[in-house]
Amino acid sequence: MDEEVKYTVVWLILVVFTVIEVQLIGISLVYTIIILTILLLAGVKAILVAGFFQHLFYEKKYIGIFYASSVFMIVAIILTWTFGR
Amino acid sequence: MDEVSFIKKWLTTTNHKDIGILYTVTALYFLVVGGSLAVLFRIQLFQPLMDFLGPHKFNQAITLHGLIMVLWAVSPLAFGLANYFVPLQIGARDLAFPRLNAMSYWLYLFSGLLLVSSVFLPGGGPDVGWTYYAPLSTSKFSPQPGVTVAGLAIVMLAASVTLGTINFIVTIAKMRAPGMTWMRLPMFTWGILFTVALMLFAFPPLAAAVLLLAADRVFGAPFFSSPYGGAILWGHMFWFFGHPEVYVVLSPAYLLMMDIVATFSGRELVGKKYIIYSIFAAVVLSFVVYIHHMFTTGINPLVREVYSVTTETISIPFGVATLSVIATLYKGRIRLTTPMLFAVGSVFLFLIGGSTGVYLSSVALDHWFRGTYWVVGHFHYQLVGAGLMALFAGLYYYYPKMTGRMYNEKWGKIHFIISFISFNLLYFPMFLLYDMPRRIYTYQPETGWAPLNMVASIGGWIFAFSFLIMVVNFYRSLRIGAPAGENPWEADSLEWTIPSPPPEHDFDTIPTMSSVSADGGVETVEHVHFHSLMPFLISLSIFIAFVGLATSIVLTFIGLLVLFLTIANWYRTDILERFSTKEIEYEAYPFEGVVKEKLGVWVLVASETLLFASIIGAYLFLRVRTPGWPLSYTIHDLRIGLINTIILLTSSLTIALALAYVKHGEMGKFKASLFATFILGGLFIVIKGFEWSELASEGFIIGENLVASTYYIATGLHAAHVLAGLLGILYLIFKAYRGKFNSQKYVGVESIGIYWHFVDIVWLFLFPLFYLI
Repeated sequence: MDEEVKYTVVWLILVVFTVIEVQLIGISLVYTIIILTILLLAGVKAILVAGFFQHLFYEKKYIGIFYASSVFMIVAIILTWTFGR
Repeated sequence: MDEVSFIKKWLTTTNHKDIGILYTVTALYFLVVGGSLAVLFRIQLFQPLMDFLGPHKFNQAITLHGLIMVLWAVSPLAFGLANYFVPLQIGARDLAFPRLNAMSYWLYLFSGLLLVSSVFLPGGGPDVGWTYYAPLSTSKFSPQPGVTVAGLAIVMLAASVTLGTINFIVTIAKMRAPGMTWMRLPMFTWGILFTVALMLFAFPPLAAAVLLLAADRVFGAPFFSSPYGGAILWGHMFWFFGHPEVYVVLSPAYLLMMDIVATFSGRELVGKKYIIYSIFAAVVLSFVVYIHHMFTTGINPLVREVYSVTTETISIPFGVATLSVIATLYKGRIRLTTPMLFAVGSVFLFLIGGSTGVYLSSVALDHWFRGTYWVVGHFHYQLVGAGLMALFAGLYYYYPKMTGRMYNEKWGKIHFIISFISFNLLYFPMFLLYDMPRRIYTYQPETGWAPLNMVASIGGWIFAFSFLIMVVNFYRSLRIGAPAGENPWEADSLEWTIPSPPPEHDFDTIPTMSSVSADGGVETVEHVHFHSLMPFLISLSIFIAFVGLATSIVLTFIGLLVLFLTIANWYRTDILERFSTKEIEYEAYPFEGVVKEKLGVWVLVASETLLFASIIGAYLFLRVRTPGWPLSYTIHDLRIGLINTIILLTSSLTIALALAYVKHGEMGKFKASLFATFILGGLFIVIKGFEWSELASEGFIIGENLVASTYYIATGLHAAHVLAGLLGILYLIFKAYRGKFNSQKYVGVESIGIYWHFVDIVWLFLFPLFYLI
């Protein structure tokens, strides 16, 4: 079955990315770069789970827009609260 | 109907019209409670140095008045009308999820009772102001349990609101009659849609804020008592909810007013499309104006300037909408009935309220007006003058439809005249009291504030009395009012095409629309209204559990036991498909083919996303400000975090596979995948419990410091969501073993899968934030 292969590949990517996140902690780089890389990897993983497992890539366009609007709200909240001082 | 069956009917009904009546009556009850408190504190303020209430009772009265009026009276009054009329206006026979609708109501009622009952606890009810400003609301400064219990009432109300938002969004999106396109929706339905969209994003930050405050009060977790911006954090979290809440209260009333103005002007609303676009713009803008409530907190000057501009901008869409109303009145065949008087009166008051608010958007002027009676006058002109007056217009407008009787027009007009004059007597002097601080329980004679306060108090008492005129008018008209007929106002939306009061099933045939008016009907499957006691019992059990937290832990256990048994029964009836109905779709753009349950879960996920975003936002806020915050990987065992992350990712894989297998009819693999998901989810929780106990044994406990408190709150809330997801998976397993799924029937798997993946996604961010960086 195609889905078995597709989902397993996605899962493997997710696991590898998670291991990379953990390994990044030990390397000697500017810490800001490490933080940004880890958060970027987390974002990519979230897109993979939402897109393939949650089927967002195959859903109606407006469900994606709806979901994106809540992501926009998250960014607005976090940026305003964290840096609005 | 005998007494027992009468009570049983109202406790078990899931019919939208019954729920609408329950909401309306309950909201009017809370309006009386909140209004009575206002009458009391207006006595206290009548003269200088009055000793009628004293400071403690005065503070309780203003706090409860604010909470009740904003959250339990005005907004739910709109939702009473919405429950009754939105399905009728779109040509549906009920809301999408009738039992959840009943549960919304019962949670609302019991949350209100919980709030009011807090005054009987030792130390009295909440006395910290309706804004619950921290650190005043933390246990250090307000140790009495009433403050906590009122907070729990807000959490309960937030649950009610979340269920309501899901129901209305799915209903309006998916259950419109043939030909009922978006632009043909009546303005009131648009108003409710905008309102629930606002609620969807505004209430989760409030729920998150109150949860953090509860942790602060119960476990000593120092979120809002933190010297590194705890008070500012509360401001952000509260006003992110608080400002959109103004539009939550205002939007349904304002747009209902437009329907009424159009009806009694004898013409269509001018520029309807532009009004809808304008209000949509206002809804979006309403989330980026809230910092004007924090101008005096010393926040970054650039941020202040930006929010000053956005605040001034939001007056533009409302200006467009108001001009459209005036254009509709111009050259209209105006009939000055009671609803029309209240509607036009509300526009007038809205203009005063709006223009006095513009001053508050100025950073410089806000320094002078902040915390004065100018602000009190401004927001009462908006929420009571524009909001409540328009809802009164709605009550008069819809009374004939709901009861089949006409109210007494002469007394209706007398009510309008008295309430309009007394309203202005009450609130206009507050603009002249721009130098009097709000929330002070008394004042000195030499301040010169006495004459204006006397006028305001007298106006307030008359305004309260005028409400009785409407109640008596409605009560008497129930028996002696003239028969109303189908369409006494010659209005053209669908609710006016059926008898008054509407029959239980609403429409004999589902109406079809080729213009704004109905022009026929289509046959459809028979609609059955189910009765269920479970929404009532679930809400009651939560109420008992919460009361127990403040009084006796035994009560909490009883409440939780009843809750568990009721949820188990809910499962049983669902697995047996006792409440199943066939879904027929007519006008559902842009969600054609998306099953109601699935769309409902997507809406829930959007709401939950905001809940976690608020918790993460609070964590980041505190972390970047608190000196010496340790790096996460120096505290936690990375191996445990890594293993648990992989376990959760694997559970996402197995539930995704379960859906694929059931679609292909591979039922053995389907059941095995579900079972694997359950085991993996359970394992995640067990490991989490083990990890917590290890951390606790090392002294890393909630309340110890901000680092531990943020960790336990974020991961604890996530674990609670995993547990909820596990209950969902268990439900799927039971259903799968009873053979309720097949390759054509799998929406439950899809819906719970969406929720499970969402919980996984949240962890993908919690893991790096709390374990790695």
